[in-house]
Amino acid sequence: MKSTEHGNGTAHDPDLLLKAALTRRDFLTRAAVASGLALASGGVFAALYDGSGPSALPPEKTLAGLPDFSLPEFAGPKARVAIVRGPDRAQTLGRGLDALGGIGRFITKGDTVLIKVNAAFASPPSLGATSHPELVVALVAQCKQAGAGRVLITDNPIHNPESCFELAGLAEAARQSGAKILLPTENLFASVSLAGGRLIQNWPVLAKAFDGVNKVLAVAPIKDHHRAGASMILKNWYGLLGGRRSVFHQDINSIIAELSMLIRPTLCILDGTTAMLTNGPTGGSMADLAATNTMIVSTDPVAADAAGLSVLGRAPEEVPYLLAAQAMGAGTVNYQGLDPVLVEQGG
Amino acid sequence: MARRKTAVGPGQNFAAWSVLAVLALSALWVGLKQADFSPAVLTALSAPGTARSSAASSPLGAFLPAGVEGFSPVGGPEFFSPETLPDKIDGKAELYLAANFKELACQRLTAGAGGFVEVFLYAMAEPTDAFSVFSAQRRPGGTRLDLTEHGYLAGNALFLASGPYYAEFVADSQSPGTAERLTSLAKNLLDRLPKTQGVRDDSSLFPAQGLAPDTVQLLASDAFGMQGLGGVYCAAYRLASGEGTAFLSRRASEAEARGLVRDYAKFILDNGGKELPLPAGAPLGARLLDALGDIELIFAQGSYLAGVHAASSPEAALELALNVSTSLGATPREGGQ
Repeated sequence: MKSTEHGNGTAHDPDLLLKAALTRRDFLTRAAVASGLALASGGVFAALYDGSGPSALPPEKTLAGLPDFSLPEFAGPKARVAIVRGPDRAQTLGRGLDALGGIGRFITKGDTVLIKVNAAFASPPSLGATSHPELVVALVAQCKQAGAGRVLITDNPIHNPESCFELAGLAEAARQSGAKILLPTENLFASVSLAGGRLIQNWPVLAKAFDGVNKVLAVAPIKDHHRAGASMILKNWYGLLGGRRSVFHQDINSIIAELSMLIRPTLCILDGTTAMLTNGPTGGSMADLAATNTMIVSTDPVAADAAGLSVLGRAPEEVPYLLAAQAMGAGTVNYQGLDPVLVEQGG
Repeated sequence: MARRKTAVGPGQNFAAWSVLAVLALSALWVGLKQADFSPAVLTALSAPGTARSSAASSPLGAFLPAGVEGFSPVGGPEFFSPETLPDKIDGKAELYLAANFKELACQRLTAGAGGFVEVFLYAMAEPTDAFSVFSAQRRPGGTRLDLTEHGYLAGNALFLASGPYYAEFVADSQSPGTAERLTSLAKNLLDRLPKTQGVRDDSSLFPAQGLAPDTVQLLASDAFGMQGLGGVYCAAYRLASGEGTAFLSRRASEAEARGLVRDYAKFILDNGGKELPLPAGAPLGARLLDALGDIELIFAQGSYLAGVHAASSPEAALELALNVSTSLGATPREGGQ
């Protein structure tokens, strides 16, 4: 005799037990719960699923480039260059600006000015690897004198930015002159694709540092550069790039030429008061430096660099990126053809 | 009590299996999607504007100067690999990478009165690699060090190579005590470095006559602008007949050395040079070329590629080439001499 759970309470038949445990109502209830769970799980998956996946950059609009800060009255053959000889940076800068009509031709009342310096290394001014603080102080004073509302100083160094600006004396220069250091924080970078560019495509660029800026001044020292041949105004734009930009060292001439198209400054100040003739771009020994006593002020960055090359004793043919930048329309290597103003500091 | 229905029908089975199938498919879908991880995420995880990186520690750090009187470390040392070296020295990284760079350790030290010294210790694969980067950056007019075979002081900085290591000690300024302080740091570092046997290299093969002091270099790559030509020792000479740079490079075989003579001559000719008649007495099989005003004389001797680069005249090139040839050992001459 088979017993049932409803009989004497003892179950001997497993089949019967199973069948007895599941009623139609139980089944429907459980099926509904399971289906609900499945649907809910699917809904959660769907809600969490990101079909495009995370991108290399924050999900923002890719910029087509940076604004053009050059002045139309100095476009093309109307570009101007001044080459001033002398050991005092403030004086040679002043002479150079005067030769081009004075700072007032470039900076007007209320302007927000961004000075792009070379602060690439945590290195003291004495080693000549970075823009010299004396020059920055003098330039900020000129801008303020012309009525600039705000003067910002920026760069994206390869070392820790705070250390670089401090050790290079640029932070103190900013404090002393009333300018503001704009550190390259993440929120200042945006994805940029240069129209016609091959390398600058969806690449992080210090683009938001230019927000609200209407004048850009490029300030760089004249240096030897092991990879590029020379580091001056155009090479200094490398500091606008973010990300693992050292990958571009494999095609350094192309990236510098593209940078020359990415940013067109209002004015370039190329400092050859002391030039790094060997072992650049870092140098290390004062034996790498020479007192070349030259300040170049130019509206054309390519012309500025071509003039700077003469300080290094090199020709444009030895620096391919300069010829490439010229071919792309960023300026001319024939600075002599621009009828440069030559000035002696004491003259 | 009502009797319960005990059989599970096909519809119920189907529904149950469907639910299980939906769950299994959902799990599979999620698994596949999450496995398809974009490499761009790796970039996104590092801040876009700040790709700076350095390792936290390395055995190389144990060789950095420590406990030197008058110096205190500022923070910990930094370490850089071949991948991160440009983060520290930017465009100069290629000089080291071409010479089998392995690792860089850096330490900044305060040196009293607000001054500081930064120490760079480069580990290279071989002693010749260390000599290569040392010699490629040698500043003229430096003061030689007694501490080690390859070392000098140049103003605010001291540079040395020892075994497979190359070191720089860079002070932020130069004062009367700078040389002494940098030397004490260098001595401390040399005491810490593993002791290595003196390595005989081919720099000793250069003839002494007319050799300009401290000009011997080892070019790791692209010697004299010729792509792929590496492992070339060169040295500057001033002779009565003129000036020039002697060079020599030991190759794997005589055939390779002879092949490089042809390749180098072709490189000169392709870049606007022209062949000159070979004077009597020149090493057998030598080539004499005018490279836009600079005279080049190249030859192979045994497994050595050798010659003279950028000589001021054919006479100077021949005199120096013969001196180099004599240093390498007797060899047949053009014209039977």
